[in-house]
Amino acid sequence: MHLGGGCLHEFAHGCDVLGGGGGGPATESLPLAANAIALNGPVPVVTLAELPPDGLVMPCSLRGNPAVCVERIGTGRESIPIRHHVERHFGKPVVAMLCTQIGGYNGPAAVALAAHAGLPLLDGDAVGRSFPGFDQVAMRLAGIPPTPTVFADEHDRVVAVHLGNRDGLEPLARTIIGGFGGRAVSSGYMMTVEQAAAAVVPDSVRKALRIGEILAEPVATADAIRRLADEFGGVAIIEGRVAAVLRPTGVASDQHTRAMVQGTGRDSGRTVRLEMGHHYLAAFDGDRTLAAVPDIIALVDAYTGLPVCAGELRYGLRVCAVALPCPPVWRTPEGLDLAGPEAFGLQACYRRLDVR
Amino acid sequence: MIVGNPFATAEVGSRAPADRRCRLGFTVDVDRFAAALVDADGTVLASVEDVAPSASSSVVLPRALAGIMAQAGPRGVALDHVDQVMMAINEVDGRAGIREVDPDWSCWPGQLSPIGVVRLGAATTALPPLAGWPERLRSDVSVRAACVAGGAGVDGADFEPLDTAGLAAFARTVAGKVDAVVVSGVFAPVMPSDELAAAGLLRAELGDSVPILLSHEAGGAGLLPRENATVLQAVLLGKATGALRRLRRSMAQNGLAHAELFLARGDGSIMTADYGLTRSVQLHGAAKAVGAQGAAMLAGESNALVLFTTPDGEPTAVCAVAAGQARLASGPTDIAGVPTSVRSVAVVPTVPPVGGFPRTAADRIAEAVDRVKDVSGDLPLLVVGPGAGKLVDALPGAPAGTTLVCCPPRANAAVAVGAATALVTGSATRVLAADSRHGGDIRGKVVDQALAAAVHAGADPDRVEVIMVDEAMVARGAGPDLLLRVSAGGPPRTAWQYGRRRSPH
Repeated sequence: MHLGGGCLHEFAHGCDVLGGGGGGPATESLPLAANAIALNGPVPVVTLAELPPDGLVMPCSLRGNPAVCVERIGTGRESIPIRHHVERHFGKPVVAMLCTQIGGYNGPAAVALAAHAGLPLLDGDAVGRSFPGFDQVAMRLAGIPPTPTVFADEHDRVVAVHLGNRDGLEPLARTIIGGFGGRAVSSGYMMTVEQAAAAVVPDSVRKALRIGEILAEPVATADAIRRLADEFGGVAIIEGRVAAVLRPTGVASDQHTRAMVQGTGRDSGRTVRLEMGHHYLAAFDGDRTLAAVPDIIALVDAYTGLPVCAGELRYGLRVCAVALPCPPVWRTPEGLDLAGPEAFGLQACYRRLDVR
Repeated sequence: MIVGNPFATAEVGSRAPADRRCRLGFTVDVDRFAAALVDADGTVLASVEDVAPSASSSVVLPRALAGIMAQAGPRGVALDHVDQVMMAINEVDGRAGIREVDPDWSCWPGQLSPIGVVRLGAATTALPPLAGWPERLRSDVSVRAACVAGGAGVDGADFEPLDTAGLAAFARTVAGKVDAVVVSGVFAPVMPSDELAAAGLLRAELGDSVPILLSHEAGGAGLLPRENATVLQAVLLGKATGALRRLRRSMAQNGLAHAELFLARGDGSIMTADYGLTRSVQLHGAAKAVGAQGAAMLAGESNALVLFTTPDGEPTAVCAVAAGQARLASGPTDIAGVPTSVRSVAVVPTVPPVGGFPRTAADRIAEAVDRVKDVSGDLPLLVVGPGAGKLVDALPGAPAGTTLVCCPPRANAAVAVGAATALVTGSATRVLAADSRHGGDIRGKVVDQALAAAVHAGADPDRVEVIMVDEAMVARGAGPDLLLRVSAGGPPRTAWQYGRRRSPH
């Protein structure tokens, strides 16, 4: 399978659904992926079985302040010096790139970074959705060491971090990205193909593409959402209007934004409450938890058929909300510890989606 | 955030001479036109709305003037009393004959200006200039697009040292082949010095006859949308020059040689025609923006929803007015299939979604009314446009979410009234460290910049005031930062004869 220019819109919209309202808009990195493919040709999407077992898999993503990233759009070639550094360090070739998180901006961005580096893209990712933390990746749960983590800017400046057995990547990463002026492409949790088999979330690229294809079908958004829920074992939460968005006042970072979605059509009479931070964290019907992180909660605009980021949610939007199950790795006790409701300051306990 | 109308207390009447000074608002939308004559107090003296004999403003103007003067003449108003003419149009791309928007338009040579684009930022090739554009539009207009070293970082320091040799080489490749050149730099709104230096170098190579448009003058965050807006403005430069020349000639031929021409902007303000010449994409959505404000003014409401109609009394779209100003859309504005940094009025069409209810016109209006709001709460619904009366008569009552539905006086000419009564505004933005010791000085400078921007756009320098100050915390890396935004505005400046009379020196 190849990712070519023809299916990129669908892929990006699927990435935005898997972003669960976070990860930055995939539609912003979409033109970068299209340009990279126009220059370098379609990107092969491969499975682990197609790769040599001792070859290296290199996760890659863009990190930084969104206000900087919209000005410094980079070259897409930042992956090349990172690849060279990684190959020198490990003394063997990188055989595939792994999208660090399929959800949001970094989905199509990984396509651009892979195309410029001349690498195939592994059909999978490290999260299966989007999470804000460097360490909220499946490889951590599989015991893959985070370092060396390599950072590069668009001027081929490279910084590598080696932590040995110690923790503390996040503050160092922030300092390095700050030193680069607020933007870096980073790569960590490098592994062999053999290790990757038990350490990555499989099939993410095809899944994003399939989600985008379903959304592109010329049917009412509510129908497309039900189809999405059916195909991926999720739940259509509600179809309705956003009746209130209550953003926390002040600078208290532990407070969440709340939104109320009032049902319309066949959901008339129901109201669903959403809790959100960088992405949608939980959906409640009265006291009942309908869905909670790490499961993926996505909202789709009923008029445009396109996913709505948590930061863009506002009064009056007509939306269809859907919850899709997260990859199984996040439902383990260790997974819930790292990225469950409590990791995002929610009181609610995690419970599996109630699929009827 | 402080929002206010600085003119509520301004002594408008005291400085006017004995005779009545007026402004003429004017709009043409495909096959209809509207005009309104408004005095300095905001009193509407005359208005007309009718079928347009042509889509060309310069052809329609005499017809509009005849209608206006038939009403205003008997009240002692002559064309001499008209100090300004304010023109409002709705869509830039359709009018400009960009084929992506109107496939039937035959794009003859010279319609869109051939341009060159040079971006200051060598390490920004993830998407080179014009790379994301619709293929045909790009091939119609682009002579050459390049990235050379230059630009700034978020803190204003050099992103890359400016590549003067690369600029000179670029200039030689486009010399004689382009009608305009665009320069767009990384973080140019924060630090425009490289764009200004590049303009100097290009001018030395290309001469004075090739206009050079700089992205920091178009403004807005985001390299690509800002660059796109600037390029579209360059592409439309020839077209805009011709249209404005014809409109000015028509004004001169019809007794308005002394009046200054202003253009309505998509954010509901106005700008002088000279200022607008290189900012044509800011016209996008202007008729809706000033129309919404005009409706609110005519109804005596400062917070309202405004529904636009076709001559048949069909609803088309709803806009919102808060504190007398049209509410703007949150995201970028797509023009000709290209995302731009232009901020324009939020417009919610009364069209149902794919495959969905609601079905009746009243349902659709109620849903659009709810979707255009940014908080819950009932507001008056003002219906304007040529079919306003018809639509109000056909509605069973005030739609859900509204306190009342009404057709304000002169509703059919609300766009023209809104254009004639709009403010000239300018704004300035700056990011600073929250704990900066120079915070006070920086705030003062940003205020000065906003005032200067409003005057540059054509505000009366004696009467321009700060209308909005907004400070928001943003995360930028090391520490918390403040995003400081200031808007200033004032009534339009008056033509020079009038100014002479006012200040005898």
